Amino acid sequence: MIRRPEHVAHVRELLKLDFRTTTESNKKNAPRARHQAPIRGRELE
Amino acid sequence: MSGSRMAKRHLSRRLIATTAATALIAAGVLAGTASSANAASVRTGGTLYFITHAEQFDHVDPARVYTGRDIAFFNSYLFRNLVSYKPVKGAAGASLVPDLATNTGVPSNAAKTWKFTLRKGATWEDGSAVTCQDVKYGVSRPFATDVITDGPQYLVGALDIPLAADGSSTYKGPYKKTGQDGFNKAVSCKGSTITFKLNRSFADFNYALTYPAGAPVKASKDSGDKYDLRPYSNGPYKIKSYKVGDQMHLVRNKKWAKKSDTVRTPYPDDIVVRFGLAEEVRDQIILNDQIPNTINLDGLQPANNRAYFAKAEYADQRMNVYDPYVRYYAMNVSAGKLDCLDVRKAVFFAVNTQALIDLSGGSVFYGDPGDSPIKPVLGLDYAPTTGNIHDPAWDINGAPAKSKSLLAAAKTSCPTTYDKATNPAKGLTMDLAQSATNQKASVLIKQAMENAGIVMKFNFIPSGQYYSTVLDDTKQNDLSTVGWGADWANASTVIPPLFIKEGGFDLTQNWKVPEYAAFKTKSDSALNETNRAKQAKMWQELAQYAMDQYWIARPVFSKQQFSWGSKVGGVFYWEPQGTFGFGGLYVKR
Repeated sequence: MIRRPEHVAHVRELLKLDFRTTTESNKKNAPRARHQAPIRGRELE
Repeated sequence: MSGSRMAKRHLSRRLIATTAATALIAAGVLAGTASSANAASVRTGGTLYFITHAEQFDHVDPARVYTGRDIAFFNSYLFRNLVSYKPVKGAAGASLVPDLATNTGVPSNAAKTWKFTLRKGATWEDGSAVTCQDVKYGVSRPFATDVITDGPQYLVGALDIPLAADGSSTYKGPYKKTGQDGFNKAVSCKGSTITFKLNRSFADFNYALTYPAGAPVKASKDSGDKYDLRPYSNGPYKIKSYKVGDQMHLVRNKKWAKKSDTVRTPYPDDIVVRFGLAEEVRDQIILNDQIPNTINLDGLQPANNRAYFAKAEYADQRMNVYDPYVRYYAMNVSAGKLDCLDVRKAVFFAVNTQALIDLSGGSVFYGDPGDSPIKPVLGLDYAPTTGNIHDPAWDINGAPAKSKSLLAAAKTSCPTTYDKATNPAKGLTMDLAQSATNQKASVLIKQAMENAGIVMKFNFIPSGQYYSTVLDDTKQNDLSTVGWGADWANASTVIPPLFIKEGGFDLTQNWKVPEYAAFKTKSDSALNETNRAKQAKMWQELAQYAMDQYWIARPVFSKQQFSWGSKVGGVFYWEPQGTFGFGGLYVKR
C-alpha cells in the first residue's frame, strides 16, 4: 500500500521559493492555499 | 561512529526486535501515548473534523484507493468488504474478521479456489441488498485498466483468466466486456456464495479482499471515471458532498443496519474533511488545540512537530510509530532516464542522509537508514542486504568522493547518461510532492548532489495528484520520492508491486531493461512457492538484486507522527494500515 504523500506547501513558503532550482512545472503546479482562516466557529462543537 | 556502523546497529536492533514477529504488524508505538476507546465514556453524535493541506484524496473510488490511510478511512466509513482487519489496537488489529461474508473465506483445491458467502442484511444507500453480483461487479472493475487506474492489482493478477500475448488479462473490464466469459468462469455467483478461481495457490488470498478493490459496487451506480467523486456507500456513512480543494462531508447512511455489521462502530453524526488548509494554519490549530474535535490527517511541519511532541499536556493527543512503510527514491531506469548503473550508484552514495534526518527533527522522528525495500517488521522475508549502506564507502553524511569515482567510470561506460547527470543545462529531475518540508529537503538534496558533481532539478507535484502523476510512465521523471508498505505479512506484497510491471507500483520502469526478464521469472516462481521458508529466501534474494541494481535510493525504515485535538476520543493506531482506527473515533463531551 502506498504511503500518503507529503502535504502541499504553505503559501508563505511558496512565496519565498527560489524557482531557479526547480522546473517550470513547479510554477504551474504551485497550489492555491485555501481555508487560510481556521474552520468557522459556528461549525464547532 | 560511522554512518555505516550506525545504520548496521540500528538494523540489528530492529531485526532483533522484530524477528520473532510472525506478522507484519510488529511495529510498535515508540513514543507518546494513544487513548483507547473506553466504552463507558464513548459518545455518539457531534461533528468530527479532519484537516489536511492536500487538495483532495488521491482517490475515492474503491477500486482506485491504495493509500494506506485512505483505505482505512473509507473502509471504516463507506465501503464494506468481504473480510476486514479487526479494528483494534495492537497486533490483534492484523487479524481478519468476517465483514460482508459469514466467515473469512473457505479455500480448497490447494488454495486455488476460494468461496465466500454473504451475510444477510447488508444494504446500499437506497436500502437495496448488497448482492453476490455486486461483489462480482466490483471485482471486475480493476480489469478496466483504461478507466480504473492506480489501485491494487492482486485480483487482476491472481484470477484464473487467460492472458494476452503482452501479459495483460484478456478480460478488459465491465465497460468493454471483452473477455467477459473468461471472467465469468473465474468469478461466479451461486445464490449468495461467490467463488474465486485463481491461477495459483494463494494461501493468503483473503487478505487481498480487505482492500476496497474487492468491495462490491452497484453496477447501476457505476459512473466509470466519475465514480471517483461520488462512490455509492454500503457503510455507516455516505457522502453528502465532496468538492476537491474544499471539503468532503459524510453523514449517516440511514439504510445501514448495525445488526448486519459486526465490524463498524460509527459514533459522530457528521464527519467533515477540510482540504487545502495552509500548513501553518493547520499546525496552529493542532499546536494550540484551537478546534479540539479535529484530527490532523497530515504530519506537522518539522519544527512544529518537535514543539508539539515536547508539550507534556499533549501526551494523549499524539503518536510516534514505526509505520509500515519504506520510504525511498524510485530510480527510473528506462532509456534516457537513469539507465546507467554507475550513475544510479553515484546518486545513492551522494545523498546526505544525516541532513534529511536533521530536517525531520532527528532520528526519533525520521526512522533508520534502510538497506532493502522490505522492512524488518516483515520478519521472515527481511534479511540485511550487502552493498549499498553497508559498503565501507557509504557515509551517512554523503560520500561525494565515492560518487565522483563512479561518475568517472560512467563517463566511459555510459557517456550519454553521464552527460545528462553532470551537464548544468540538462541534469536529473526528481519528482516530489509539493510541501514546505519537501522544498527544504530539495535544497539539501541539491547541495549533496552538487558536492558529488551531479545536477539535480525538482518537479513539485500537488500531493493529491502526486501518485497518479508519477505512476504515468510518460510523466515520471528520473527519480520519484515514494513510500510503500507491505499489504500483509508477505513480501509478495512488496517485491512484485514495486518491481514487476503488472504489480501496480513499479516506479523503476525496469520492465524496459534486459535484466527484468530473469527478475520477473524468479518473482513469479516466488509467488508460486508454497514452502514459506523457501519463498522468504527468494524474496530476500530478489531484494538483494534490486539493491544491487540500485533500483531504489535512500531507503528509510520510517517513523510517522500523528496528532489530534483534546475532544477526540477512541484514538488507536491501526497497525496493518499504519494509521488511525477511524471507526473508533468519537467526539468527547
